[in-house]
Amino acid sequence: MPGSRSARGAGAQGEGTPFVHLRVASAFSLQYGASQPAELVEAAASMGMDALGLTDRDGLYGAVGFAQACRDAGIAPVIGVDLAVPGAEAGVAASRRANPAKGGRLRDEQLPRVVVLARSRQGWAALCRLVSAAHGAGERGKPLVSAAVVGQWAAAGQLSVLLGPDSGIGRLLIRGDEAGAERELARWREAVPHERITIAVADLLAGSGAYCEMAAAAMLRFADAHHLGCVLTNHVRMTRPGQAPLCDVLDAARRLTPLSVRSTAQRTGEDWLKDGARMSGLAARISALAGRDDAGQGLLAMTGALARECMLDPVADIGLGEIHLPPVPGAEAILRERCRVGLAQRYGADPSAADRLRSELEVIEGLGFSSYFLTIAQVVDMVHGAGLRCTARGSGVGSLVDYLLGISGIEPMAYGLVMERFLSPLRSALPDIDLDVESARRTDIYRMVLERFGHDRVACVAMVETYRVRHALRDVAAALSMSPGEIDALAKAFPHIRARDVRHAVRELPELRRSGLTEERLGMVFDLVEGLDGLPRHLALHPCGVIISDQRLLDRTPVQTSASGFPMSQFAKDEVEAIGLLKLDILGVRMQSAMAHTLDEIGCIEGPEEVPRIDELEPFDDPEVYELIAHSQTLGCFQIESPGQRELVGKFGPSDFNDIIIDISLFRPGPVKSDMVIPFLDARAGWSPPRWLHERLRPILEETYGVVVFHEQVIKIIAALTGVTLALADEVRRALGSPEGQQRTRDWFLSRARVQGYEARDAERIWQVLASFASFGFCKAHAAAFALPTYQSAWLKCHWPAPFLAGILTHDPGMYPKRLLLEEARRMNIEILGIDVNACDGVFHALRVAPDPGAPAVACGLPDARGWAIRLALADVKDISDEEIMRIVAGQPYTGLSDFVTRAAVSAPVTENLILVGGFDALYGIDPDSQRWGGTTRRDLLLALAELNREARASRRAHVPSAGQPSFDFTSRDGGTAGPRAGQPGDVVPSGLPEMSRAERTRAEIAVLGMDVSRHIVEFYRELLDALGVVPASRLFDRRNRDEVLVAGVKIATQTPPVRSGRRVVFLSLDDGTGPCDVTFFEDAQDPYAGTVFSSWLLLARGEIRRTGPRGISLTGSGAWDLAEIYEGYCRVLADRGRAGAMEAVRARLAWTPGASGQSAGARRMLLHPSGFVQSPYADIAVAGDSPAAAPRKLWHASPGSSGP
Amino acid sequence: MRSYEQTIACEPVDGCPTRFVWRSRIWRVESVQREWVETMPWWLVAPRGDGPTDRIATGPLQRRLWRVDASSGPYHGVYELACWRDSWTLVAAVD
Repeated sequence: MPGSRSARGAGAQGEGTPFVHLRVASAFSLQYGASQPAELVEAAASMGMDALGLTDRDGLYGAVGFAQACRDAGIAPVIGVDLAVPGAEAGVAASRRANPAKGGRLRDEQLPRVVVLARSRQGWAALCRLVSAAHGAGERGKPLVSAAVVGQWAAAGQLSVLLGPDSGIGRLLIRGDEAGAERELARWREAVPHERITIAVADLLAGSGAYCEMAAAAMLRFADAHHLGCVLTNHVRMTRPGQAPLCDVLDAARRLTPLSVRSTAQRTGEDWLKDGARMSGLAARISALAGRDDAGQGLLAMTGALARECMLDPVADIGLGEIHLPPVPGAEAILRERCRVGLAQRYGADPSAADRLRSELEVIEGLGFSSYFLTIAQVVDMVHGAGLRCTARGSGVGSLVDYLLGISGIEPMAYGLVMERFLSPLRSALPDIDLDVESARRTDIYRMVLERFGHDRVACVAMVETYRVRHALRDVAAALSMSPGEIDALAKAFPHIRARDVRHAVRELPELRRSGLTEERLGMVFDLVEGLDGLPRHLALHPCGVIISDQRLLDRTPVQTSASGFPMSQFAKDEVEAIGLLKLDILGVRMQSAMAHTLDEIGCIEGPEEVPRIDELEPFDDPEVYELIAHSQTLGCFQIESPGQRELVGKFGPSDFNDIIIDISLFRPGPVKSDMVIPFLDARAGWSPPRWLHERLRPILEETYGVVVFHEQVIKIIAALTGVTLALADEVRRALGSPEGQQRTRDWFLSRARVQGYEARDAERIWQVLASFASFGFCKAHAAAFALPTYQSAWLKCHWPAPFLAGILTHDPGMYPKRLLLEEARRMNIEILGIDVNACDGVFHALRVAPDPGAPAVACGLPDARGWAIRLALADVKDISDEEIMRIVAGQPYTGLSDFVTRAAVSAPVTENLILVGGFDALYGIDPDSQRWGGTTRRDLLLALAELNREARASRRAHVPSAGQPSFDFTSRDGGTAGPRAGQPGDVVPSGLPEMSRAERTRAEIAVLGMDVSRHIVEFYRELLDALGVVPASRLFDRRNRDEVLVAGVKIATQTPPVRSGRRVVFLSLDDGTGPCDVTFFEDAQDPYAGTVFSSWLLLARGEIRRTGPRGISLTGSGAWDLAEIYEGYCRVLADRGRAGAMEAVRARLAWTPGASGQSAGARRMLLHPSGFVQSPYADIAVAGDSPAAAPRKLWHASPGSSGP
Repeated sequence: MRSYEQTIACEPVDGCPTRFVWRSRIWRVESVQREWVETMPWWLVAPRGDGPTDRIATGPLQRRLWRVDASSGPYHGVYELACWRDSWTLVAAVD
């Protein structure tokens, strides 16, 4: 048999026939493969190979992208999966000991593997189901199969099984255990048809072990002896041999071990995509050793034959370009009926609406998408039915059908929204409808969808997290045995950029140059970091994508369980779209949760009948809302609260809903970059006349004073000039996004415009505007969808300020730290009630503290909410767990500290935190501001707590069951002794310790809650700030333009937005308790100060005043210092040289400029936009340092003062 | 088998060893028994913090090894030779 095969093979496998690699791990074998599927395909195609395999570990994550790349390169994909098969034979399974340093868990168990290839469309379906089964069997993240499970899906003969050197058989043969290998083979033969089992040998030129030529020859002999087919593979993990170090680093990262000679002992670096000649050489060497006399031809022929059997068709077998909608019987009729009812309700007998509906339905039915709309309407109805908030976003808001079905809350015709932007007869791709739901309830909604449509029809979409610079640095540095501290400092020094840009960043960002992260020191690290760029490192649940399909969903995508327990497709968004599965984006929006909380609060305080119906605020014409927006009092409002937006709404003064839509569209990188904002504002203010592109276009451009802002306007202008349908106009608009597309359409556009009666000159001018603005414009439907919660949140802030603040404090939807929101509450005269163990629960609550405060008065747009209060939430107490909050709330009220300790069972540090921020003040009548002698103080409580803990420990040691034991529950309510006053618990005896000072209390608040509750932190530096002449933010208007001033405050935001010049600009916003203040650092000032701006949280800044408008003011920064550090220096000198000396020292410090960092930026990279604008590559990315959320607790890091209690 | 890891002079033809010097004798390679490769500890080859050359070693990251039958006059032996970046090592002698 072997002889005859090799004779036949020698004839079939001619000299020029290319080799096919059947075993290839791409980067989608996470932390294993070093090359992207497309890269492998390109390399294979360039070597003249006509097919290529992809057999990633544990999944088909890369399969769709691979099939697309193969289709584009004109080669055939062979797709399989590489799975672990534990316990094949005693001693073969995990032979390595767990390492206690890694928590006793072995990261890389090196179980035997099996490769399973699909042979057909049915095979592809079986492969999907096999992979799902493997993931369902093992512990999460460790999929497993057995021969029997593989057999279950392979029995029909549509799968081929490859057993390689790393299979059970391979390992037994290497150990010389022929009998064991035979038993193992018998197991596979029981489960899988004999002719579908193939031995796969590999010779990676190892000196010994599974991948040396002797092992390969032994396997080939075994195959011949047992009449099994045998193929040659190369266990490919990379495209080029030069990527071998990368594979070593990936191994180290996967195993959580540093690189060592031992760990790479088995590696030869030969597992790359070798060409046919090299593979023929290996085939010959193995065959000769195995005693075949065909110079390897048989092995090569068999490899080619199996490849041909397993070639898949990307379209017919994998299903690229298909569309699978959930079946709804009679969908068209049902959709028509629902729309008819909706039309009658909302429009009566309006003929234009009826016309619009007719044309939309025609398109939908023409594309066969009726069931798509009905499915989404089902989801929306279900969410609303559960009493949850849900609203559509995105271009779908432009569709009347969506409005009539209740999917969208925006009436599309009133705002000139067109359906063609969303759905067009010219594109058969599934349109996107995104739903915004309450973030806090998103997973509940996922569960509802799963239940409603069934687990075999629903799966979440995956998201592939790829290596960016920080993770790459961490993994590389760890592999190179750097210390954890060094690794952390290194990674955090970088902004969140792509890994491949690591060197550019070092060259261009002054703060990195200054910290010595140089090419000389870290060249090898940077090489490897660049190599890791973009490789997948982790598969996560997509934040919003859900697939809803028919019963055959699991034939089209493998499914595994996400960390949160949801069934998750192994495909990400693009792959899901490529195989035509209906993907619904269900986005958790914190503002929706914040508004839901606001409404709940109002319901609790005022009764359910008083809850405002914020989804019925049409026609959105409340003057107080626009008053608030025009005065830039928009902190906490959706989309319009950022410093830049506050400046813009202040200048703009939106006066109706359409203005809000325009405002949101203007405040985007495109319009800002291309100077659309200024002409608009000038024309609106009447300072300059609006310039219509052409008088005939005036109706289209009226609303934006002649400036092209919206995609919808571009579409309509194209349609007007060329006389085509809106659908075709949208195709043209899409083409304008690329220089090639612009070239393609230009002549067509100009000649059509001539036909429509436009002068050549006018048409040319309009074309220029469209070409440069097309890619910047914003979809108006999308902006309209945003404008709705913007209006709703502003309306709630106007009319229900305290409940609204409680809502946004609880769900934290915006960009600002909570301490700033508290500051906003104070500005509205809302009383802040601190932590109280008897009154607080997990969320913020609003309450009335005066009998009937009446409707809030408004001053300068900001409502006055006197008579209202907000109660802080336990959730903000440092280190507290959800379980602890639940126990505290369940046990309320408490009679005293010991009662609390006994019943709430909260950890001692958390209880201490509660005491420190006054959680027991009310219980013990502590008023820290009245320094009455002899009363109980927070310090007394801390002492008592320490005592309680000691006793609890003692009783545990004495084996006395602790909880609830009277031995240390010395609460006595009958008091009457001299110590505690009547009505207060008697378990804490005043010791005469002084109360915490105000400074200590504020420090505790920041450390424990992350908020300065009782007073603003900047106040503690007031003496120094006054001496320095630092100007409060509210007094900046008193200063002249171009004055140089000092300001101070807590950093509330840093942004590096794109600006037209292409240089990086850093915007710093500070808050000093009197209001926000913005300082702009241009490139010349960044070199010495950018590091401080990014890393410090309490800042002193110097800048020149620049008036930007009647209410606008901004500083051009020329210096920034860490305020706490300056203050520390001041205090140090103060002790020795007195006040005058200290001030002199501080002034000298401010006058000294750190030297330039030496290396100049040199040739600077800019991103060139198709329209010709340039942008700094560091604009618009998350900046270096910790995330702002982590920041506030650090505010007090170096401040002076007495030691704590 | 004795391990040496000593640098030697060797004369390759087409990358394969043909003659080498060991213990002051010239050895002629009579036949190659095996050939294989090993990964070098490339992360140590260019130690961190060692000037501008601190990059991943360019060129091969593996060394090639040969087990050869060699003779020198009346003597005969089996040796393992390695080549990395044009420099030759006698890895081991098989007794």
